[in-house]
Amino acid sequence: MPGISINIIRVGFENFTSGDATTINNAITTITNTYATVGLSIPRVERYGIALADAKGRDVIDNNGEAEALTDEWTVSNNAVDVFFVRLYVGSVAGLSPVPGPCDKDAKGMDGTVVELVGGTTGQVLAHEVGHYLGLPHVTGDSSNLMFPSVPNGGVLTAAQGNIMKSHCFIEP
Amino acid sequence: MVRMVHVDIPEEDLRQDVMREAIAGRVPKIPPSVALSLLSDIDIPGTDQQALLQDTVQNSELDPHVRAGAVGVYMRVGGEGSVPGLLQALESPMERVAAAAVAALGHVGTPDELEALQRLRGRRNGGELLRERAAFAEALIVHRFGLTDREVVLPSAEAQPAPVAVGALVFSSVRPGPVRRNRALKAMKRDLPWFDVGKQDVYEVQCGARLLEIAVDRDFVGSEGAERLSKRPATPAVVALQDVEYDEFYPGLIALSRPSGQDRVAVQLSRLSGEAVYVAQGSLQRGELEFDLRAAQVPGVAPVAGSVRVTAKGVEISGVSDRRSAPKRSPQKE
Repeated sequence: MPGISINIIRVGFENFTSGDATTINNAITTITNTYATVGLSIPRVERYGIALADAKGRDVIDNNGEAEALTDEWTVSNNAVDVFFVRLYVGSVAGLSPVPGPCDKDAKGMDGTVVELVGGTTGQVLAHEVGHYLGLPHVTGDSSNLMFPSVPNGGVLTAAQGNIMKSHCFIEP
Repeated sequence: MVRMVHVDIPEEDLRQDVMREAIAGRVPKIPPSVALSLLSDIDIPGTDQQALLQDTVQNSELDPHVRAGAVGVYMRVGGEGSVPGLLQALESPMERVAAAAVAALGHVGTPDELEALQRLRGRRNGGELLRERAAFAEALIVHRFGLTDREVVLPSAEAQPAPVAVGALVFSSVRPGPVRRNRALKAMKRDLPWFDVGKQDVYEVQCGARLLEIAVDRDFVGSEGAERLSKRPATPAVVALQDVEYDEFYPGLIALSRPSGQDRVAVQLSRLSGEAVYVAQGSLQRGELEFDLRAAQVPGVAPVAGSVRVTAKGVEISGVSDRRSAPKRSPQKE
């Protein structure tokens, strides 16, 4: 089964609790199960952290520009999607991603995704944002679809969306 | 193109008691961040939203992250009225809260707050984040008020070399239509209480996939404006970035300018958190200012070589940008 690997990067890792670790693990389970419905696996999950002293206050995001700055400044040098987990992203949004994300993570512009820990909805936010990175736009007319612009939603992916995701340059055979 | 996902909240939950509980993290379907955002974006019946935000900032039983996040919202909702509460938050033993209060003071504070910020910058037991935020807040107040009797310490920002011309992205400014112009100005005003919408000319720059709206204060355009820039510190421009999906903008950069010698002006374009991203040196000749623009030596920022001309007719911005950024930082493997 083709797959997409992800780098989980905890921003200000010292402040993440064991409960947050559970939330992230549950989110990985959610994305794995959701993507499996369109024949896409998550072969590798690598875990990284940015210390509070290095995070420049971006463990709390209060402006989309700060979320972009996070992905501008940091990356893991591999062919996996960088997912920056933050404990608070002030605003009505819980995640941000380029559509599609670049193959070259040193390219100008946003080249990772930022996801806020939002309890039980975190997995859906993660799957939604990585979906954007893999090229999926929003689906505005169907609240059952994972790519509906707000969460919680039905979390469904169609076969056609799966095909778009599988065409991204980061997909592993 | 950048996209985001919203968190949807049932209307019956828009009540003060629910918001208070949500901020404390006790309402699973409403994350604290969303509750804070609601308090700034909509009227919640029967709620003194500013007082609730002030309580949140000062409540030591709450998660410091939530309190730090509340500070910016409190500043936006309260404007100058939030200054006493922010000064109180400076004394918080939680550095994250104090640092957020410092940053907010830069936007709503007056020269009266400079002494408190200087004291904080020199505090021996303060962390680096607090000192950096205090330095930028101080610089922001000095530049906003055009104070000539204050030395400010901006973070040093070396310029990157110009990009390789072959394959670089070319950019050139135009004037946007009224819809984009107004949306950009509204976003700037929402996040920057000191920003005066009525005094701005807006220029638009498309660089690759990125659309920028640049608001330039008319006080600093033309020969008299150029003269003013060469005489005192100022905040002559703010740059907003576009989120394509909702056609919304958010302010990303603030220009801080200051005289740097006979008929010369130095500019730093800094993120709202204070890091310099672009630097420019300009010289005043025959009533016109011409700046040489470069990207700063910052991880993840692409090299840029640009020109900004401030003439009697307005502002002309042009240049080239590399498609790849300077080397980034690597997070620690766990």
